[in-house]
Amino acid sequence: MNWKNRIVRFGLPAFLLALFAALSLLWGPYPALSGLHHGDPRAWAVLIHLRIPRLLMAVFSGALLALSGAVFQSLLSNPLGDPYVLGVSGGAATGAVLAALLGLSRLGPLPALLAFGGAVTTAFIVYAVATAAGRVDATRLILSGVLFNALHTALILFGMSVLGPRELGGVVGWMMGHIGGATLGQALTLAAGLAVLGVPVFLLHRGFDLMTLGRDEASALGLSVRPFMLFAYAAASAMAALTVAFAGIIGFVGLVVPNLVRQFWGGGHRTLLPLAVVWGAVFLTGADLATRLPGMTEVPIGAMAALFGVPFFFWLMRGWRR
Amino acid sequence: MLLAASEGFGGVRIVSGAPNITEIVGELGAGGQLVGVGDFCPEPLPKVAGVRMRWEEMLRLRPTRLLLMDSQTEDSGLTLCRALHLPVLILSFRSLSDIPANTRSIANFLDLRLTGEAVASAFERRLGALPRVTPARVLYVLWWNPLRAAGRGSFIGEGLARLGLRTPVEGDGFPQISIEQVAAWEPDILLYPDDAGPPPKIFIAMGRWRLFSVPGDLWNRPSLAFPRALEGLAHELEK
Amino acid sequence: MISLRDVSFAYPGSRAPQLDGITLDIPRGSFVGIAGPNGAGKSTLLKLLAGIVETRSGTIRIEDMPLSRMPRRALSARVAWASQSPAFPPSTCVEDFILAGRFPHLGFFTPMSQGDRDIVGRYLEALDLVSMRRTDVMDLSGGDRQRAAVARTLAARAGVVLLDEPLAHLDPRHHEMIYAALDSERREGRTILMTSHDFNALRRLADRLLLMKQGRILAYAPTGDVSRSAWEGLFDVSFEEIRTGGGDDWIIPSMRRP
Repeated sequence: MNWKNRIVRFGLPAFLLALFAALSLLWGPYPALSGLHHGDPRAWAVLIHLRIPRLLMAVFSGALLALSGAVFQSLLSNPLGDPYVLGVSGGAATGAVLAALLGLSRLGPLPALLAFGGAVTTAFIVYAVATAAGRVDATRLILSGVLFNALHTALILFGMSVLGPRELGGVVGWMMGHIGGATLGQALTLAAGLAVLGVPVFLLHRGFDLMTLGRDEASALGLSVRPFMLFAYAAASAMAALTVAFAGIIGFVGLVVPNLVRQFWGGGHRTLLPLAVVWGAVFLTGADLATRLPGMTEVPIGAMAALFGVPFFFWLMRGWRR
Repeated sequence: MLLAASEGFGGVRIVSGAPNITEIVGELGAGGQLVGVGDFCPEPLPKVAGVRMRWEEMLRLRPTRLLLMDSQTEDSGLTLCRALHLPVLILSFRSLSDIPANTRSIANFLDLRLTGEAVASAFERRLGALPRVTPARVLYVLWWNPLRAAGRGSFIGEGLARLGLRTPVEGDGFPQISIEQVAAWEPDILLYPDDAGPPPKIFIAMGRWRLFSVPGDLWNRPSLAFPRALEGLAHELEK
Repeated sequence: MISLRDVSFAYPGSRAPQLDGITLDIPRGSFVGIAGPNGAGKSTLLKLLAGIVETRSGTIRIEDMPLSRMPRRALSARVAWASQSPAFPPSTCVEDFILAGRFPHLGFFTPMSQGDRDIVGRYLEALDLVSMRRTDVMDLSGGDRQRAAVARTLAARAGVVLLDEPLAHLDPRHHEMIYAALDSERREGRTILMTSHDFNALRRLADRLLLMKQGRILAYAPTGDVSRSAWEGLFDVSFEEIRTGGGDDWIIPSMRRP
C-alpha cells in the first residue's frame, strides 16, 4: 500500500480523534476556557483532574476494547467475537459486586483490583475448561464462555439481592460503564496496558491472518497454534479485564469497531489492528462527548456506545455476504 | 429554616450531596449557607449530585465546603477537591448511631461544634425517652416487589428495638426476602411506608398480622426526624 | 522419501482407530493418488503427514528425520497441505489469501519480497486467477475458491505437497488446469500425494496408487499394476473398463438397471 493511501487511512481517524479530544477538553458544565483566560484555579483543576483523565480514559478504553475485540474475532474466526463473549465481563462484574458486598470503599485501587482479578480468573478458567475437553477450538471456547457468563449472572443477581439500595445503584451504574471517576494515574495505567499488550499483538499480526484461515490450515502453514492461541487469548482477556476494572462494562466497541474497520479497509491484520485501536478511541471519545449533550448527562457511556453501536451494526449486517 | 440563597454568610458556601445531609445542615442553623444540594433535596437550590457528585456543576457554585455520601464519591473528584484545597466531608448513614455521630462530624466540619453537640444530644435523649410498647414481632417492609425488609442491624431495625419491638430479619441492610419466609416468621405487625403503595392482596389475605402504613418520608431515611417516626408508631400501637 | 512404519491413529476419546498399522514408503518425486470410500482414513493420513495431528503409535520419517521431532515451521516449509474444506476469511482478497502460503518461509517478521510476490503471481496465472487477484475471496464461486486454496498450497514451494480432494467443485476446464499445474510441480521434483473421489483423474495423474479401506492399506502399487478387481474390492461395486475415444483407459462402476 502506498504512502498516500496510508496517510488517508490513518489521517481520517486521527483527525476525528483530535477534533473530539479538543471538544472533550473545551466542553463541559464548568466554563473552563474562559476560566483559563481569567486565571481561575478551578478551571485549571477541572482540566487536569477531570477532563484530561476522562478523555484519556475514553481514548485508551476504546482502543483496548476494539483491539481486544479484533483479537477475539480472529481467534474465534467469528465476527461476533467481543471481549465479553468469553466471560471477562461476567467475572469482572462478580468481582465488583464482591467488593460492594465486602463493604470496600469505592475509592482507591481495591474495587478495580477485584474486578480485574475476577475477570482474569474467569478467563483462565474458561480456557482451562475448554482445553480439558481436548483441542482448544473456537466452539469449545465460546461454549465455555457462555457457561461462565451464565454462572456469573446468577452470582451477580444473588449478590445484588443482598446489597442495599444505595450500593446497588453504584454497582448497576458501574455495570453500564463510567469513565468520569478515574484519575490521571488510572488512565495512564490503561495506556501502559495498551503498550505492553498491544505492541506484541501487533508484531504478531501475521499469526492472526493465519488463524482466520482455519486452525489446521494455520498449523500446516507453520504457526504453532496452541501457544499462539494461548498468547492471543491471554492478551485480549487482559486488555478487556484492564478496561472493565477501571471503566466498568462498556459493550459494543469491541464488537462493532473491528467489524467496521474490516468492512472498509480489509481483514489483513497489519492494518486491521492499528486501525481498530484508533477507531476504537474515536468511537468511545465520540460516545463520551454525546453524553455531554443536554438531556444526556445521566446516560452511562455503555448505553451511549450501544446507542451508536446498534445502528452501525445493522448497517454492517446489510453489507455481509455469507 | 433554609433560605434560598446564592450568597452565603461570612463567605461560607456549602454544597450537600444528599437530603440526609442537607437536613442536618439545616438543623445546625447553617441552611442559609447552602448554595447547592442533591437531586432529591426539596430545597429550591441548584441540584448538583445524583448517584454521583457532578463535580463540574458543583464547582460552578464556588463552594467552600463540600459534604457528600460515600456512594457519591469517586477518585477523580476527590483529587480535584484536594488540588483546590476544598474541604470535603464524606458521610455514610447505616446504623442509628450514625445519625448523631454524623451530626457531630458535620458540625465540627462547619465550625458549629457546640450547636452540633446540642442537636446530637437532643436526638439521643429523644431516642432514650421512647416508650417501650407491648413486645411484638415486627416486620418493616421497604417495598413489595421485589420484597425487601429492614434487617435487625439497619437503623430501622435498631429503632424498632428501642421501642421493644423485635424484627426477625437478620443483617445490617435491607435484604430481599420471600413471602414464605414472612409466613414462617409469623410477625405480629407488618409496617410499610405509604409511598410503597398498598400491600398486595396476599399479605392481607394471610391475615394473621396487623398491617400499618407509616409516613415514608420519615421512616425511609436515617434522619434527625427519625425519633418522631418512632414516637408516632408507639402512639399508634398503644391505641 | 517419506516412510511410515506401523502408524496408527485415533481421535482422542475414540477407541476405534482411524488408521491401523500403516506401513508405507513414498519415494521422492513420486505422485501418489489415494483412493477409498469415506471413512477410509485418507484425510487423516494427509493430516498426519502434515503434522497437524499426532500418531498414536508408529513413526513417520521425512528424509530420514522423524516428523515428531521437526519444529513446526521447518516442517511446514517442507510439507504443504490443502484441506478438504478450507476456511475463507472475511474481507481478504485472493492475492493476500495466496500470499499467506509464504508464511513457512517468512515467519512473523521477514518482510515480503518481490520474489514472494512473483511466486504468487505465477500461481495466479497457472490457476486462472489473475483477473480475480484483488477480488474478495468470499465473492468467488466454489470452484474459484478451491483453485485459490490449491494456489496457496503450491505457493509454499514445499518439497512435499498434500492435496485433499482438490478437484471438488471444479468444472472440466479447471480440472485440466489443476492437472497441468500438478504435472508441472511433479516435473520440478516435488512429491505429491492427492486424494480424490475421481479415481480416473488419479489413474491419469499418479504414478502410484494407494487404495485404503477402513484405516488399512488395501493396495499400494504403480498405477498400471492396480487391477480392476482391486478397485472392486475397494468400493464393493462392480467396475467396467472402457476405452474413451481419446485413447484413455477408464474404469467406471457398472450400473445395473433395475
